[in-house]
Amino acid sequence: MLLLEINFVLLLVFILFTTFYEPLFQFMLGLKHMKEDMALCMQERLLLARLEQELIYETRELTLEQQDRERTLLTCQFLSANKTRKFFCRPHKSGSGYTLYQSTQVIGRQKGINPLTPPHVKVTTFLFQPLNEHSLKVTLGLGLVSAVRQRNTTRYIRLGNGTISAQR
Amino acid sequence: MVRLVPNGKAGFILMPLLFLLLILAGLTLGIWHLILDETLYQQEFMRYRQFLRLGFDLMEAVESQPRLPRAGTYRLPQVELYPGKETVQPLLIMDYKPKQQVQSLTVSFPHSMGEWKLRRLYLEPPGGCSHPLYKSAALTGFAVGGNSCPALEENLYQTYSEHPFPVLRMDFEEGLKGYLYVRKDKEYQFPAAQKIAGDGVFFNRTHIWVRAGTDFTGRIWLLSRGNIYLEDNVRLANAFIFAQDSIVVGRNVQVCGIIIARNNIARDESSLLRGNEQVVQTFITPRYVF
Repeated sequence: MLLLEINFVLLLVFILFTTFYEPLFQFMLGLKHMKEDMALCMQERLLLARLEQELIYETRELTLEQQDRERTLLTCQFLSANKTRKFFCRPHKSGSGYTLYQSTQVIGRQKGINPLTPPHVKVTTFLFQPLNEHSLKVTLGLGLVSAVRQRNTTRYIRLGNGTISAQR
Repeated sequence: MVRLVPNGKAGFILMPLLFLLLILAGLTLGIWHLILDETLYQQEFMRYRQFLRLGFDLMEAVESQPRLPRAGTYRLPQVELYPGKETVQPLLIMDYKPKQQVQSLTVSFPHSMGEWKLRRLYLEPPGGCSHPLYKSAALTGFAVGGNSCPALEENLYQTYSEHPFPVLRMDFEEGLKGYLYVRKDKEYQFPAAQKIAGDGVFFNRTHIWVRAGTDFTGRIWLLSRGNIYLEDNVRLANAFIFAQDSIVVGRNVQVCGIIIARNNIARDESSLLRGNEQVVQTFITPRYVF
């Protein structure tokens, strides 16, 4: 008797599911988009927080090198006299977009290179434009490899302890 | 009363409904928590950026004044943050007077979740930059102050002890950042045979040892209420060394700057001390949050 009742329940669930399939599908799609947006938002926050922290407090001299219309190579000479860090983009494995890397060089030690974006996230824009000796405009575009959703942000950063030395 | 057990007739209808309700409630709760977390993070991030912008603007505005206002704590007009319309009252704290050894400019934002503070320090040598002792020491590179030697204001250094002495080898390899480094208890030893780049002011209430072969290339102040020992082959290219007790200088030590001790300076003949009055000019640290 119990088995029969469970079968009835499952049947009823199945009927309800097939009846409300379309709105449920839309709901699930909405959830997926929300999850993607949150993933992008989190990545953006992590990247900007890191960049702001290092540019505002730690950088003594910042050099910007425009690689193309979407990418800038940053070279930060830190307050720590022997430490230099570069932020740069390389093409993503998926063929579109870029992966952001940081390369840290301490005099007398080997250079270390690490990716700053996870494999499922690609950078579409990483553009830094100087506004004056201390301020710059940051345009950061992020996208997901498995989806078409993208997120673009513009921020203004002012160096608290350094200057933008040259634009090559 | 409705029976929820499967052997009741109501169970046929209620069970799947409850099942669906449970799923929907779980989903809704999950989404709600996600949105709430995300909103809080975003709000915190935005708030931090507003503090950053206001703090630096305020500090730059004060620093660019040709004549600084009187020392003290100034309560500035309230600022409304977004989102949430939380109001905060920025505080501008200026702690300085002529010849004070550690002077500071602090911008503070007390808010509902804590306090955000931005600070910069201005360091003066004991007795002020133009103390006659430094002028005479600039000729020979060193001087024993005796009873006329100004004292280190330990309480002030302890008040601004946000940066402890570096301890890891990596800290020295990367270089000093130009802060005021304060140690409260034990004596301190700089590592031997290490090339140390960058600037810094080191205050220790007891002895400071600079081990043999260490080479400082930046602007360095070593301040101690005890003794300072410079071991053999130490190099200090731009240094102000001040000990409230004595200083011992080893063989083949080279110092360009000023060495001052209240009681005694014992130096090996092979050491080379060259005077440089510039080292006692005001030492300005980078801005930092704490």
